[in-house]
Amino acid sequence: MDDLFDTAAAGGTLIELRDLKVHFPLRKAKFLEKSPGAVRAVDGVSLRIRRGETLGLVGESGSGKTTLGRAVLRAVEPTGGQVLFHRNGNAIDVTALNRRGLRRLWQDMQMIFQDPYASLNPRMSVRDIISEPLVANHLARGKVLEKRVADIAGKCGLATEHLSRYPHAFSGGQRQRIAIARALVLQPEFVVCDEPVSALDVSIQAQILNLLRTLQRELGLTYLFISHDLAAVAYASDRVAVMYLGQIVELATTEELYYRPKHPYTEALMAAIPAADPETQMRPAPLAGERPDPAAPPPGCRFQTRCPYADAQCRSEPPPLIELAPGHFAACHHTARLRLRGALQQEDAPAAAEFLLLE
Amino acid sequence: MTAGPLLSLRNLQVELRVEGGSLPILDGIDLDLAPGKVLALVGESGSGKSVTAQAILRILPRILRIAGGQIRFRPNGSDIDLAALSADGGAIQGIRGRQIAMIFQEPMSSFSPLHTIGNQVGEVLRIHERLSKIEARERTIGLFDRVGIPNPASAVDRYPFEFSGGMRQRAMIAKALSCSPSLLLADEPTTALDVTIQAQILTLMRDLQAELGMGILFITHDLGVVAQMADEVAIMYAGKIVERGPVRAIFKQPLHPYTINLLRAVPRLQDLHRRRALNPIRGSVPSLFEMPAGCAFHPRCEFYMAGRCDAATPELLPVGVNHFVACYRHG
Amino acid sequence: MTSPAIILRPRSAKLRRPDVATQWQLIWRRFRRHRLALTGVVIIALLVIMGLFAEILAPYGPSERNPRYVSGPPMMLHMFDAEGGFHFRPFVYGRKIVRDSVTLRPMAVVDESVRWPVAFFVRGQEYSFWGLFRTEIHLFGTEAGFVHLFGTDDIGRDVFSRNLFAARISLSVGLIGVAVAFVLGTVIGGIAGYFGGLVDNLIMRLIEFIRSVPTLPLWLALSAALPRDWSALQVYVAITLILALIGWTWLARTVRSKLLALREEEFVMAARLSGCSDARIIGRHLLPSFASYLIVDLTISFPEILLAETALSFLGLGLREPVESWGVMLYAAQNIRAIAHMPWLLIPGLFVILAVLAFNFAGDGLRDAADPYAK
Repeated sequence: MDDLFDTAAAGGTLIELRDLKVHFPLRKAKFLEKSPGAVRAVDGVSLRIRRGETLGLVGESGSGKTTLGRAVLRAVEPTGGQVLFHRNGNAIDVTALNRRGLRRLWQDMQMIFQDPYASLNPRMSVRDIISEPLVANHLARGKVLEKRVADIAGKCGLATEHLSRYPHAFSGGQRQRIAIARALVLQPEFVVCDEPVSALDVSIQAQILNLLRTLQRELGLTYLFISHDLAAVAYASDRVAVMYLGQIVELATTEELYYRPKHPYTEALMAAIPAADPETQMRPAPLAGERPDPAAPPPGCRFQTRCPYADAQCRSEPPPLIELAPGHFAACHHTARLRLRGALQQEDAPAAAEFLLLE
Repeated sequence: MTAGPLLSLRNLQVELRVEGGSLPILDGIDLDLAPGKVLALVGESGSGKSVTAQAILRILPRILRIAGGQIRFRPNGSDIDLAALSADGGAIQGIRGRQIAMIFQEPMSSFSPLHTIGNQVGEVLRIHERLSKIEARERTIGLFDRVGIPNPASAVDRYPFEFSGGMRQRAMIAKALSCSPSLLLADEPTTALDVTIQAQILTLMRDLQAELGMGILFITHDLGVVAQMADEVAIMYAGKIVERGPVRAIFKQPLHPYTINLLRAVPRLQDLHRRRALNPIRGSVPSLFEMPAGCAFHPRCEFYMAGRCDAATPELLPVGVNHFVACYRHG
Repeated sequence: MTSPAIILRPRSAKLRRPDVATQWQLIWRRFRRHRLALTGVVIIALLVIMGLFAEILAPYGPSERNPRYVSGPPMMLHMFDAEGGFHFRPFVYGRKIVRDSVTLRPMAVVDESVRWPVAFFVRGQEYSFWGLFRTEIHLFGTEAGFVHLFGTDDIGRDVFSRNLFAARISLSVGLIGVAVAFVLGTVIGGIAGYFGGLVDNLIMRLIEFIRSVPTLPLWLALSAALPRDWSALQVYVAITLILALIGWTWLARTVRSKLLALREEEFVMAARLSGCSDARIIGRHLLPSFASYLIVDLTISFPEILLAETALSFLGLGLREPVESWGVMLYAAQNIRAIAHMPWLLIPGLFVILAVLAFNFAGDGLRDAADPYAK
């Protein structure tokens, strides 16, 4: 999908997704059956992630965002499409790597998980957890190993006496620091952050978000920041992509997306966030109903069952993801005619517009 | 309407039994909830907010126990001290589900997978109002319709696993409200839900509350939800209430350093264009075994006064109309 | 703004802190609260001591015969004599042989006029202690006559002493059998659970096949197939292996199902992304996370193998003399005459019961204490 070329971008493309698909079969195919139904968790995603940026990925449960993050690393196997990793001018096809190639790749691409309680082995000391990637890849030993572990632990806000303790002695925020140190000890270029702060207390979320930001500057990292928390994504990301039922429905810079969304689902997401301001009246729930079954998405636009603007065309033709303004993509037949309301108004943003539906 | 508050906690203390002694979890809680109002109980992990709700309904796990204080409940003029009742007795059982109801965060684990949803929701009616199975089923169908579950007549015979998270939460609300309680305890009811579903559930709860006129103790850590739902807010930290007051006062004029910091630390969409950096609160919630002396917040507080803040725990004192703070900077 | 060292609220020094304890400390603390389990552990320890130090503890050798006291009942220790006098050193009354007037059988009867004091560290039959040294000193005994606390069998061998030696045999069969079954079960179950797919399928079918064969007839058939001319030691090893080869299936299934579940956990995914090989993931991440289940399994399968060996030997199809377990001792007691006239020959059975109960109690306690991370 060449329309996704970044134009005058600061960094070049680091990661490229081409029509990536991850389908989970519902059951094994029966005799003589072509293929049984499948949950189409990721259903044709094309994307470029620029070097040095933070690309936010938002969506609700069932959107496929977590699966997408895992598929980029091949922690989960894609069932279709390609993932390209641009290193030193070469494009490495991640989807075609063998096991050894993957292990080498994982020195450049890493992941931070959501649940700091589940992603750390409770029976290993913090030192062992952080040094494991170096040990398992035979990259460092002895004093050199010690130094690298101490370095990254310090950058993540862990003290020396923490290294000999065990995960259960730490709070959620500190465990997440351990997980971050583990992910970064190999000095990767690209990190998938899968809901890195969702399981943490709100006052700690800020610490970890700031830490991630600092580390990005210090170590020159590129992030894919996956979250359902729109405010956290807004704070952390340069650009944001919105997923619904396995597909990208909108992609734009953070400001554009939040203030001038071009997809009805994005508008609904913004409207659903309760504003932390008692003066603001709560609007009635913007979306009725629930999302369809990912194993049986409706024909045409997948959002049609809940979209207040859906019409016959939406029900029959799936809308393509097209560039409506430089760098701003949306997949909606009527986006040019709709005036959608964003999160809140900037002082000099266009005045609040009612949404107009043109016949 | 009744003059006094529907629910009053006075100096409620709950302790945790460990090997070698006990530790305070709730360190003297004072709360008032007026009938028909929503009081948000805000706190992070370790604050004791869920324990407060469990103590009210006397469903504390066995390692916790009420060590002192009162829980005065005044529905329709009567006055009962729930803390004085036996946790297994008939008195509290008659209140649970009928006059005080509770909804939880995880609707999946709140329903038994072995019985139909209709069976479990109707159980409350069969117990408290002695309805027959058929009558209970009819009422349940009506309740499902009221909470917005589509096709209620067939939904009644479905099992919990057939429902989505949002639908299960609606069913839980139906169950909680079936006997028209005067007090609803809601423990993070929307935390596990998608934001668009959360919006639906919050709208539903506000409508039902207006209709039934019940008081709600709404436990949450989400300040946005607090701003939209609550009439009054109580902020908890390490087992104590540190600030309490009307929702506007708390958001516009927060007084306790923890409240101030909390509001500054949470990313909010309205600050997006100002590119405001987040100011996290340094340090973390103290462990029960290493509780700071005096005010539990003092190691993280930018206004810490040595010799005062670490000497004795500050009292919750009034500073405005119905606005209370426990801090030595204010009285 | 740095704050100085934080002043903490005073708290009782007796408080045990779960947050700084290691996993094993947590397990131990919970285990300690089980009286019954602790009793079980103590009993197991005593039995192990019995088995290890049998030569020293026993007054007589396992084949040592006393022709003066054949088929004799247990001899009581006394501190007070017939006239009421107190003796600091315990003693047994002497026995003299008289011929029964009716049956003309020689019988040993109590002679209260003779006292045989029982002392510590007496000389008895010479023995070699595990090949380390030779000596004649036994822990206790009597130099004056004989002391048979549990009586003697029909050829005059001391049941008490033989019981101690039998403890060694029974417990070691159990131990080795459990160890072999453990290794087999963990490795095979581990492979099945980690790799899944066809490998898992094949292994599970094999396990099901083995489990579908009735155990007792299988054991009987296998042990009956052992050549009669094998030495007792060869039989010992063979019996142990037979028991283990059938006992591993339960553990394999448990390990497999745990691994299948744990495979999807995030820390496994994180380990894979860190570059860990499969072997390292299984060994370092997966297995330790259910080490507690494995320990519990040990305490369950030990009594099973113990009982199985006892049953086989009791039926004459297990171990053979001179390698004698409790079961072999019971084999000699399998007739009406023994039960009616020499019930003390069944004492080894009591020890089997004691051992099985002790392991079960200890296992219960371990099961309850085992998962300190569970709520």
